[in-house]
Amino acid sequence: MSQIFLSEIILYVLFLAFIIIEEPPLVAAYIIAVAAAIFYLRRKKKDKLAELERLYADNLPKAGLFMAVLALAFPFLIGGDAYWMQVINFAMMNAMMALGLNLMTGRAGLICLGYAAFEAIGAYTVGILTLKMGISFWVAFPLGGLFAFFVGILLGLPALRVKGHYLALVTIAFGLIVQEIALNAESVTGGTNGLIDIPSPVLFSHDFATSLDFGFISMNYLANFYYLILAVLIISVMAIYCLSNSFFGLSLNAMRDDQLAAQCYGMNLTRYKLYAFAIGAIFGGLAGGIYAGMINFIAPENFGYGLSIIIISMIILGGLDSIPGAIAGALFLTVFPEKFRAFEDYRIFFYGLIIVFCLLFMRDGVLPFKYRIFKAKEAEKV
Amino acid sequence: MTGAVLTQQFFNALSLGVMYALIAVGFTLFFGVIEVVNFAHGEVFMLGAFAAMIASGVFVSCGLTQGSLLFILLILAVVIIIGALFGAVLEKYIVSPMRDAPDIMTLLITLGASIVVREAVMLFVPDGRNPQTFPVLVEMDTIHFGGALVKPETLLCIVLSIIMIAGMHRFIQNTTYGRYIRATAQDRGAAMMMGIDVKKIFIFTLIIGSILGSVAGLMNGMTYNIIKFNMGFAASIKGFAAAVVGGLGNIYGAIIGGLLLGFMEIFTVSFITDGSSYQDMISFIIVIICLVFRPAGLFGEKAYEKV
Amino acid sequence: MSIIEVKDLTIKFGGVTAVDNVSFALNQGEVFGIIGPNGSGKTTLFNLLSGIYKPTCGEILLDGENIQGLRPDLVFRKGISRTFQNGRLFWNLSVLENVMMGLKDVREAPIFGGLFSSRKNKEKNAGVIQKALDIMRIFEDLLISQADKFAKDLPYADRRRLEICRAIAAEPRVILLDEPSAGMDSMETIKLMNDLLKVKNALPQLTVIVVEHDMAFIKGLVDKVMVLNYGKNIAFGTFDEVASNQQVIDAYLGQEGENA
Repeated sequence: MSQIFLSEIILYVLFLAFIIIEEPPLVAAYIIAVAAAIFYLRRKKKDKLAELERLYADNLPKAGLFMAVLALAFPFLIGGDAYWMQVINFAMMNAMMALGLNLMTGRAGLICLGYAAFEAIGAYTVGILTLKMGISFWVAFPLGGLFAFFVGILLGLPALRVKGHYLALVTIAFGLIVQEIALNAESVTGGTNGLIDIPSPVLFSHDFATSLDFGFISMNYLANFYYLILAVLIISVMAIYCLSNSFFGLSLNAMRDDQLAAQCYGMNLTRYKLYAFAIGAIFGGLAGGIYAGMINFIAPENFGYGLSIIIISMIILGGLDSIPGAIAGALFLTVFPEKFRAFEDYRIFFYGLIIVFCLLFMRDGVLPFKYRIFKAKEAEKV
Repeated sequence: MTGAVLTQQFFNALSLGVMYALIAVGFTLFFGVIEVVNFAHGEVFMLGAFAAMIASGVFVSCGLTQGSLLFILLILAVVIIIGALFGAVLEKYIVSPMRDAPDIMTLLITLGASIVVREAVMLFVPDGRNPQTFPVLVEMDTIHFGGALVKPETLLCIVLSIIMIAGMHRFIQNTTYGRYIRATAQDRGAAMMMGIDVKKIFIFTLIIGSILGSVAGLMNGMTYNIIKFNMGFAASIKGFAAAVVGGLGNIYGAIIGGLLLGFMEIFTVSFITDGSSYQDMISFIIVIICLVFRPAGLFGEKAYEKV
Repeated sequence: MSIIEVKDLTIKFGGVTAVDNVSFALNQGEVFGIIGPNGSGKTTLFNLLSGIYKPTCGEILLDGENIQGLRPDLVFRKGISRTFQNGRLFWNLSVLENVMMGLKDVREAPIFGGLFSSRKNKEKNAGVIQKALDIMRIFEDLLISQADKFAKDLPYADRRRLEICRAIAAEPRVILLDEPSAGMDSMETIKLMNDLLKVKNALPQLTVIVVEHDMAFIKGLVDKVMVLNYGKNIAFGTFDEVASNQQVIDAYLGQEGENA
């Protein structure tokens, strides 16, 4: 047990240090050191890591709770710094999307290169409903997720007939079509200019656009969103974890490994593919809804092909079909470019390099989670 | 719409169509022989255009006359060499290490490679972020075709592609290596047992496909005069789309698919009001419809999965 | 009434007739062998039976019910499960999970059932795991001792066993075994044959159709044999009857002038 707490605190401190150090050479040295440590651990301490993995798997609720407590304290530790708060908020939204995409691509093996479209759908749903119809954010936000769910089914329909490479093409086209619609349907979406002045959420007469006052410390308005996103992220992780480790998730894994064999073993591929797309899409929609509420401005260019690629590179870096991997990948790949703001232009180049290097040299990603939930010993426990 | 405009549009569509066809043939070759979809294929198209632009600058400063036959042949040679190099490097360092990995990995790595190449051009070519003016390689007067004005570049491109496609056809049909390629496409295992060095054939296939792609990029530069680092993305999607419409793996299908897409695009732009904002969408929608209703393409036979 | 009846089954790929007017009928509990030279349409026949290919014409009746043209998952639910010639396990699933994929409980679990992870859910999972383990017990400790390994890490012969386990986990009425001994040496083949006899003893009601190359294997296992050549049924009967059939001998040894 203490091993879990210790490892979590170490990771937490590492992440905190990563946020705090600013000098690019220092950051570079830091990253190289951590990467070397990871390599060392994965090469030489394989058994220890496997044991730790098992420990985590057996004590998941406690480990998760402790992590959540640490996350709650985070804004205090960085002193409510507005800039980093913003970055972390984005990182957590990306983590939600990475989790959703991971369910489609990692768990079910259905490639999706247009995931940004789901975020666009959530964002525009919230934007249009709150701005043009005066509906409360708290109603519009889940509706955004729901709408993304249905659009996910819509995307799933052509995906039923096509596999692998073709599916990649269909999903790219899907992403671009959604973006084109946002561009061309000016009367609803505002076209190129997008939607401006989307109202912030208000909860119990506390406007999220105002600062969050704890009495002893008053934090920037972004702290409101930090806690909102954290709450949604925790619920998302729990939902995705439960789904992934249910019989449904097992079936998705089987479908990923061999579609034909899965079908010959009674799986209705249609149903499973549609659900995989639709459920994965929900999380994109939710992230988009928060985006609209937090940034108050959305435009088609925010949800382009590039974003889809970024999300994909997150799950590749973390390890396909790994929930902790998706979160870690999203946190790292969102924070990292901020450390090198002078090299802003190199951002996408860097994402491309990450994809190529991971696939060539580290196909399982940094945090692969190979632990299977259904074990022979489970039968004896009950 | 008058006959003259129609003729003019016909030539525009034809030149766009053959360009798509050249790219599509690459996609179809890779899929047929190596069984990969190379998402980095669009980048060779972009590289071809940039190579021609840079080479033209270098040659002019070396004192070659713009528009002379030597000048054009040299530029063509540079473009072909760049294409071949790109293909060889891609096979050796990106595609072949992924041979035993699931399809999804191959796909993602070529995607990653395409991003790296595209962004590298943006970052390392001077002023690469902005559209570049493509130099005029041949100075000729506009040709009149019964009232229609046709740019000489357009004609040149059409002729060049026909030569390229015919050359590739001859190569594949009549040479030993061409036979090897066909054999590998039909049955890799059997080809290997017959003593064909399949690895070599893979490299060869990528080289041929990439050369066609880079020449298409050169033609794009000549026809539209503007090139940009991200031009490969749209090109790869459309080339892939054309290959899919024609049936992946079917070379002649890819050519027809390319022409079809070219004509469809040009004529939506000119016949439908406000058509240009839907130009790209058209090809996507066609592809999705095609994939859903004729997954094997218009000319492909129904594929039976090997069990 | 026969458990499975095939009438005039035919499939054409382009100009090639891969399976040509094949008919047969089996009683419950019979073991039926299909033999024939390479490319004679054995695996194609299996693909027709399991719904992967749609026949050009003909009928497949399972217990009197017409199932031809159904999707593979529906055919499976009707009670036909199969193994694959080259082994198609779910490689990145554990051995246990592979067997679980054959179970009805997994297949019919509600999609969002896992969301409410309660004690009850855990008990249900344990029950399903126990069920899978019980099925693996057919091969004694061989698979159970490796239950938590990934399928891809299994030795070759155990992969075959696992495939058979996964197929019988579904409690099928008919099981199709596609060249179960492919790639095994003679020792392993004999062991596999004994394993299959064990399965047969444990499940006497199970009808088995097996495609094989190995004559000794077929001889020791089956009640009836059918010989396919160029997609046609050229002989049908007990093994000894078929083995002495002149047409069959020709097909295997090659007629002069035809198979040069």
